[in-house]
Amino acid sequence: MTGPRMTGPRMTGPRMTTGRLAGGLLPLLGRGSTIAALVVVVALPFAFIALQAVFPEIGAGSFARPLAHLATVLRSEDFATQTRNTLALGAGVVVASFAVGVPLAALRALTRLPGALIWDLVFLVPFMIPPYIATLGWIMTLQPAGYLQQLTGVSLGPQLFSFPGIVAVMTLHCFPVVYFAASRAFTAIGARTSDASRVFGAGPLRAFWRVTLPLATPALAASGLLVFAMTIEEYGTPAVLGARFGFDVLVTGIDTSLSDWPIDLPKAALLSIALIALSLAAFALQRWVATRRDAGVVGGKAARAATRPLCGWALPVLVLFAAVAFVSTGLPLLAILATALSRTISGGLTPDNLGLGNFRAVLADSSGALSALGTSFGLGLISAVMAGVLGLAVAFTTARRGSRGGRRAPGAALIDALSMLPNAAPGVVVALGLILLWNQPALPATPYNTLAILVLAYVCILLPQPVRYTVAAFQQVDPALEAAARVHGAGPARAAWRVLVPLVAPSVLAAMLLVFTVAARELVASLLVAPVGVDTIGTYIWRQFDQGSMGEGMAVAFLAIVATTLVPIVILSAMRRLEMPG
Amino acid sequence: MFDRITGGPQVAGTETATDATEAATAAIAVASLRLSYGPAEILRGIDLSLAPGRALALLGPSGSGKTTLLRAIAGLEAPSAGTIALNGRVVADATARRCLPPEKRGLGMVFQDYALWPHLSVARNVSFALEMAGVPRAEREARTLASLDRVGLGTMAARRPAQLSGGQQQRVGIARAIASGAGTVLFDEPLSNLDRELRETMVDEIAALVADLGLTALYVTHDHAEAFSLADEVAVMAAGRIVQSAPPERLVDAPASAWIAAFLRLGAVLPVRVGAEGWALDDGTPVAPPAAAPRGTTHVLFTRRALTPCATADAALTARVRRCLFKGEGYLATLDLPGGATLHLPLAQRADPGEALPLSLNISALRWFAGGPDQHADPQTGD
Repeated sequence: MTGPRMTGPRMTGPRMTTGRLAGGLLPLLGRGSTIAALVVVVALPFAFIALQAVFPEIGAGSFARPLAHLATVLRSEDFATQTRNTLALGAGVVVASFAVGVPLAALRALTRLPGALIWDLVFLVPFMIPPYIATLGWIMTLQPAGYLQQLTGVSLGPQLFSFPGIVAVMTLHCFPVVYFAASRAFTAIGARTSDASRVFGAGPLRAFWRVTLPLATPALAASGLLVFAMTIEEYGTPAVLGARFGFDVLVTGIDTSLSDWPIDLPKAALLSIALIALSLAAFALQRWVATRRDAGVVGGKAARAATRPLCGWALPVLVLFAAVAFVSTGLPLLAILATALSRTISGGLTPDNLGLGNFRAVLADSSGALSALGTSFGLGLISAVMAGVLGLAVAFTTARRGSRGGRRAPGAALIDALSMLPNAAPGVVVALGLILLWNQPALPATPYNTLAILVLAYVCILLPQPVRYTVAAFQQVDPALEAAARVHGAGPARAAWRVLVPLVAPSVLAAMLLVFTVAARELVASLLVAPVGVDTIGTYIWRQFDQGSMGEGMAVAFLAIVATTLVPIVILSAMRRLEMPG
Repeated sequence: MFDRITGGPQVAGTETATDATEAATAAIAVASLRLSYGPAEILRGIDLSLAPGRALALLGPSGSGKTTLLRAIAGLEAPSAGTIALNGRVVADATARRCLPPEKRGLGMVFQDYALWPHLSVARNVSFALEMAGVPRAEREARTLASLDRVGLGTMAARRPAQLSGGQQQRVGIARAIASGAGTVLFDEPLSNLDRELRETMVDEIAALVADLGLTALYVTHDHAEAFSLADEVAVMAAGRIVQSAPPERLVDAPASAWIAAFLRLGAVLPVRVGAEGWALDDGTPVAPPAAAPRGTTHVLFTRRALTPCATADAALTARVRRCLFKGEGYLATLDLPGGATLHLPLAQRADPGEALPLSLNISALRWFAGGPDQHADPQTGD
């Protein structure tokens, strides 16, 4: 060796680090605390569900009689029925969402649809209305003596309180997922490939059927999975509609095992595991379809003037879009507003029955409506910040693209798995896990019966959102940007703070807004774990409906929709304006 | 022009230079450097020394390890064996398991894809290193503006990188690298994302900048012309080793191996055999008398200046014209040589495809090698 050689003790310079950029004490500490947080928020609740499912007497601290109740639950008729109903509902809503979403998406992506961007915005709204609130709007509209009968004399009550009724209401909530995924995929595949197939002799419909649709399969499969998961996780719609004709799904079955005498925790845990298994199976199916069919074409630059004119079809197509928009968004919102503005429900849709009394009552907080709004917005804000910070920490360890050939940090796989686990678990399952975990008699202190348990529930349920958004943002960041900061004098922490964090901040903020919106209106976990005497927006509306006092409940629902839809839109557009070059 | 700031605390002053006299004068000294990712060895024993104020280009095909070597010098990769010293200060020593992080090395670096921070203005990008070094605001602003003026972008300070063209973005990258006053600047294929015309302009600008500021420059590229124009010395890399390091003129005149000659596209490399009458190509075409090349020679390089079109009577060999393209200032012919090799030769007038082209031979412009163009032999270690 000819170069200079120095011995250890003579090094008087700054601290030397060993290893690559990923090394060092700070990242190790960060990883440790991230794992600790994930264990408390995610792993422990799920571990207790698994324990409870195996050991029926774990609540008394005993591991006796493992799986003693398994045979009973599996053989019980309601388990089979609920599983079948869950599958049927999930499949029905996926099929119906494709039936509505794919044709609309094809028209949106491949033709010169007038007002395309406006329709995108309009179809975002049904997705923003929590399905249980839309369901209440549908009940007000279609039930006997409802608004439809008052206006037209027709009552569709029996049709609403039926399996197709539940599928229809859930589809109106879910189809935008398919619409957006499919129209983005069609646009990306778009013109280039389908033009090529037309040059080689296929007509437009055949080109779509033989080329565009198969290429979009991975995107469609992903959206189908999301719709399936959303449907089998949904509590409010099957609970309120299904109760009228004895239709139970796993989610309502878990709720019944938890809230109705005799409380059966082992059964609830087993049903939860069945529900998680269904979600995972759907996920595996989607992966299988996506990898089998992924031709790796999607992406690239979409050519501009590739869309076809609608010619004489413009009017019918516009009518179709308007009809779907009205039924999915306008009708439930109008029904909610009408109920909120009615002095009495029995008074009907007459001018002298309308007034702002319900909104005044909300503001006066006479039945706890204003407190419920305040509680939910506060909890939503806290949950958003916590989920955002935790999501950032998770993404930082799992997704940051290191140097070339850089391996993932140790523990990254565990962090990754833990943060995505809630994806497979509905709110009702998370609530069960929290109930089981935080009621352990051995605990010296517990957040149970405080507002903190709601924050834990919301953060656990929604954590995958900020993780997903932030991971995607990190993957967009060229590793050279961090390398450049290091070479030009910034230490690892400073490089992260000055370069990485600002670059992913918009995505983290968007994810936090989503967490806020969903958490503020969450229903089933709130019903199950909210402390005694505390109402959230969801539980308040639910109880008002149960007690038959619809007016104030619908006024709160209307205010909640407006607030949770408008606030994110305002913030996001303000952000966009800030990003615009000045 | 710029005050040299001490980019990061210097330990050079605290060390005795007795055991590092040679390296103490070098701006960059790399010794026996090896670097592996798991079982894959990317660098297999690199030695290089670069005196202050000199420019060295690392030239090699992709996968030869040139970028990895640059990143190891920058501190972005940790070597698995060997040492790196900057201005006599050891910054990486694998035996002692020491590797100074990049921010403590006081270097400037220009990246291939610019690596400008998109959320910061041009001025904030350029002033970043000064900010990290704790330079007071007023001084920082003055030096940032001076750097930007230096690259002709003084009026763009307030813009975002995304509002600039590719060439302007790379000028910002260069301004950022010199703003801190770092004496040594690493260039990682800085021009490969730019189109040809702009690349030629930028080569001029970088050469002027490096000379004016007296920078020590280490320049990674796979473009011969770029390396030849910018560097005092060019180190050709292959499979994790430096196979030849020499001034560009010498590299072209005396490539150390047939592989280097082929990689630098210096002409056609053909196998030769020695017989009673001298050296001949495989098909028997005589090339040179026996004394022209040492024993053990297996290949000859026909450089372009070794072959000149001539009258049939004077021809040493005859090539067949495969193609002839008009290049604006003359023609470029693709020729099939007798041994089966092809050669691109500039011609003054058009030659028709299929035509036989008589060529005279300048024996002093031939180069002789032991070993063919498939072996990137290392003349120093002989493997």
